[in-house]
Amino acid sequence: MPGALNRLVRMVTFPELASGLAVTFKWFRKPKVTEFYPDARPVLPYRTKGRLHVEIETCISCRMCEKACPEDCIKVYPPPKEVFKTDKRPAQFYISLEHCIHCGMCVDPCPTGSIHHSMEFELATYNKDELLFNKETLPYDLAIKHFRQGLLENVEQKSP
Amino acid sequence: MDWNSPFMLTVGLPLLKIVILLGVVAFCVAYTVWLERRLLGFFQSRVGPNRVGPAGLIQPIADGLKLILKEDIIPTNARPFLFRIAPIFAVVPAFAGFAIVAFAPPAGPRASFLISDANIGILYLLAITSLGVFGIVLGGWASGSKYPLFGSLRSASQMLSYEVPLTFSVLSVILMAGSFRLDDIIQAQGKLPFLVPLILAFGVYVISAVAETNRAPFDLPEAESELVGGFHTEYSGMRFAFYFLAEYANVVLVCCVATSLFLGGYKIPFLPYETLLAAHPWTVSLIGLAVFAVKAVAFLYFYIWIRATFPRYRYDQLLKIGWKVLLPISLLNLLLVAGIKLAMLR
Amino acid sequence: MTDLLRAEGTAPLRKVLETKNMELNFGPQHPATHGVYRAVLTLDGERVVGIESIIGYLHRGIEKWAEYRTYPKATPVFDRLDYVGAILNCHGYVGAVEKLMKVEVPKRAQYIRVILDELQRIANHLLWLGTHALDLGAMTVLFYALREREVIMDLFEAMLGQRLLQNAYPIGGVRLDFPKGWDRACRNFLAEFPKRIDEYETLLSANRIWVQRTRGVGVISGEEAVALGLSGPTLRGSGVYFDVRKAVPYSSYEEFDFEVPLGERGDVYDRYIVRVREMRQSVRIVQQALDGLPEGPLMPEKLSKIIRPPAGEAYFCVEGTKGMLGFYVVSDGTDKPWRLHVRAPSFVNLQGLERMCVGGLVADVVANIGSLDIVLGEVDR
Repeated sequence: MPGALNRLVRMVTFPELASGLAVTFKWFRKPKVTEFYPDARPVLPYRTKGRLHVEIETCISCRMCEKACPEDCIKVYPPPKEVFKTDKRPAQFYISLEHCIHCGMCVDPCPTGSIHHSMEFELATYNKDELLFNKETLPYDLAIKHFRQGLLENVEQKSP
Repeated sequence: MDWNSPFMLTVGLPLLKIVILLGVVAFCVAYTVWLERRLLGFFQSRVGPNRVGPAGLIQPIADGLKLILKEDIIPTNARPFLFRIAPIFAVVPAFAGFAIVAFAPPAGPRASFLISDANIGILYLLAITSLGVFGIVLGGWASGSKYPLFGSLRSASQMLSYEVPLTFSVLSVILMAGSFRLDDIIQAQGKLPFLVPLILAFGVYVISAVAETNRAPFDLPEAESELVGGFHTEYSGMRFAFYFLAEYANVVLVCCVATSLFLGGYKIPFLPYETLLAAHPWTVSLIGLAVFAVKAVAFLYFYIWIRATFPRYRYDQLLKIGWKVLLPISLLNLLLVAGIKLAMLR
Repeated sequence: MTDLLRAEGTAPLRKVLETKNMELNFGPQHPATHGVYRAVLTLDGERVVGIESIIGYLHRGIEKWAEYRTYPKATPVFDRLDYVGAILNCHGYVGAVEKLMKVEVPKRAQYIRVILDELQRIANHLLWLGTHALDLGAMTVLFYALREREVIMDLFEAMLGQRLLQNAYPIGGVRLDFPKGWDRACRNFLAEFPKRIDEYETLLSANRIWVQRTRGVGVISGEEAVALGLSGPTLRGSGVYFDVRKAVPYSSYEEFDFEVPLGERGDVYDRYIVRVREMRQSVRIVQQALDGLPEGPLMPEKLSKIIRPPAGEAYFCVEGTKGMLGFYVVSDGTDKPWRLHVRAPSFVNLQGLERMCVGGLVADVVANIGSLDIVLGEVDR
C-alpha cells in the first residue's frame, strides 16, 4: 500500500519532470560553450592536419608522398638526370587540395620532412583552380614547420 | 480635434487603439521569437542568435525581411484559393483575441488599456481562439500533400480535445470571479491571485494551453522529425511567416490570458490600486502595465523552459491525456469550486 | 475507426466506409531518417501496415574502390563507411590485414587502440543519443551530447590530427604516441563524463514522456533478433549476450574488466538504455587502459615498407559502434586486395526495422529508426 501511495504521489507531483527542469535550469545559469569563431580564433593542437605545406628547398624528389597518397593529389616532377646529381629539388610539384583528404599518409614516408600539414584550416576559395598549387604558389611557412617539430620533440603542449 | 465627440469615442479612439495594439503585438510577437531562440540557446548551453545587432536584437527584423523577399511558391497539387487564404484564417483570430485583454488599469475614463470592455470577454476569447484551427486545417488540406494533411488532421483533433478541459478550467475562474468580464476577473484577484485557490485549474490550463498553441511537448502538428514541417510544410515566404506569426501571437495571447486569469493581471496583491489610481493615474497605469508584462514574460519563460526540457508526446498518448486525464480533473475542479462557492453563498 | 468496423464486420457500413491505405514516402530527404535512407510506408490512418526500405542513395562502391588501391592506401576510405565511428572502421580493416599478414601488434599500440576505440564509441553513442532524443522531441539533449562529444573530438584532434575522419591506425600499430598533456585531459573528461550521463538520464530515462514514447515500442524478441542477424546494442537490447569484445577478444580486450549491458524486453527503451550503459562501461575501459598502459614500441619491428600479404583470406571483426563490424579480405599475394567485403552492422540491423514498425504509429517509425542507430554511409557503402 505505501508503494502504491508513493506511486500515486509521484504520479501527481511530477518529481522527475521537475528534476529535468532543474537540469536545464542549471545549464541556463552556467557559462555557455559556444565558440565565437571568426571573432575568436580557435587554437588548434599542433598535430592538426590542415593544409599541406611543402618545403621545396629540402625536397629530394623521391616521390614517396606521391606514391603514398590515396587520392593521387600529389604530383612530383623530378629534375632532369644531370641536374638531379647536384640539385635534387623537384622541377615541378603539384598539390591539388581539391582532392586532398587530409589523411596524413604523405607525411609519414617523407625522408626529409619536407611535406607536412599546417594548422591552416580555412581552405575555401571562390574558384576551383585556386586549389591547385604548384611549386611557385605552394604556401610555405618555415616557422610553422619548426614550431611543429619543436613540439613533436616533446615541448609541453597546450592542453586540448 | 475634439476627443469628447461621440464619433471619436465610438470609432476614432478604438481605431487608434487597434492600430497601436496591432503594432505593439506584432512587435512583441517578433521579439517573442527572439526571446525564445535566445532562451532556448541559454538552456542548451549555447548563446542563441547573437550576430545581427547587439545580442541578436535585429534578428527578427532580418528574418521578417528575408521571408518577405522569398518566393511565394504554390505547389502544383494545391488548391490555390484555399492555399492563399488559409494563413489569413490562422493569423486573424490570433490577433483578434487581444481585443479584450486588459493590459493595465485605466488611467482615465477615456484612457483605458483595452480595446473592448466586453461583458462576455472570456466567451469571445474562447470563441475566437478556437477559430484559429481553421487556418491550420485549411492550410494542410489545401497544400495537396501528405505531410501537411497529417499535420492538419492531428492539429484538428488535438485542438478540439484540448478545447474542452481548457474551457472547463476557465469556467472555474469565471465561477470564482462571478463575471465574464476580464477586468472584473482581475479586480477579483486584488488580494490573492486565483493561482492559489485554483491551482488545479491552473495546471489544466497550462497543459491545455501548451497543447492549444501546438507547442512542445505537444507540438505534434508540426513535429519536424515525423511530419517534416507539419501543416506548413509546403508554405514559403510571407505565407509561412503568417503561420509563424499566428503561432507566436497565440503564445503571447495565452501568456496574457493566463496572467489575467490566474496570476492577477496588473495587480500586485494588497496594493490599493484604486486609491493610488485616483492620485497618480498615469504612473500607476504604467506600473500596472509593467507588472502585467513581467508576469506574462515569466509565464513565457516557463513555456520555453518546458520546450527546452521535455520530449514530444505521441499522437494517441496526447489524446489520451486530454480526454482521460485532463477532462476528469477539470470537471472535478469545476465541481469543487462550484460547491465551495455555493457553501459560501449559503 | 476502420478497425472497429472490421471487427464488427457489418457489411453495408463497411461498403460505404471502405478506406484505402495510403503510401507515404519517408525520406530520403526527411529530418528523422539520419541520412538518405528512404522508407515507403503503407499507412492505415496513422498506423503502419507496411514498410519498405529503399537504400543505395549513398552507394560509393567502397569495397570495389579498395580493390584498386594498395593495402595502406585503402585505409582512409573505410573511415567513410560509418563516418561517426571512423576509428573503429579503421581498426576493423587494419586488423583484417594484420591477421592476413600474421603481424603481432605491440602491446602499447593495442592499448592505445583500445583507448581510442572506446572514446570513439562514446562519441558515436553521444551523437546517436542526441539525434535520437531530437527525433522524439527532446531538443536539449542533442546540444548537451554534442558539447561532450566536442571534448572527445578535441582529444582526437590533439592525438590524431583530425576530428571526424581521423585515418587513425596504420597497418601494424599506431603512428604516434599520445602528446603531452593528453593523458591528463582525457582523465579530466572521464572524471566529468559519468555525471553528464546522469544528467541525460535525468532528462530522458526518468522522464515519463520519454518512457511512454519508448516502452513497448518496436519490440523484437531475442530469437527474432538472432534470426535476422542483428548485432551490437540492437541485439543486446533484446537480451542476447553477444559482444565481440567478450566473445572473440581482440586487441587485448580480454585484459579489461567491463560488463555487457543487456535489455530485457527488446523495445526502443531497452536499446536506448543499453547504449547509455555502454557509455559508462567504455569510460571504465578507457580508465583501465590509461592506468595499465604498458611501455614499448608502437609499430612492430619487422614490418616491410611495402605491404604484400601472403595469398589467403582473413575475416576480422570488431565490436563496432553499431554492432559486429567485420572485414573479409582475400589476398592473391599482390599489394592490392583481390576481394574485400565489409559486414556492415547498420545494413544488417536495418532488416529488423520492418518487424519493429509494422503495427505501430508513424511516430514510432521515427523512434525505431533512431533506436537502430543506422548510418547510411555504412548501409549503402
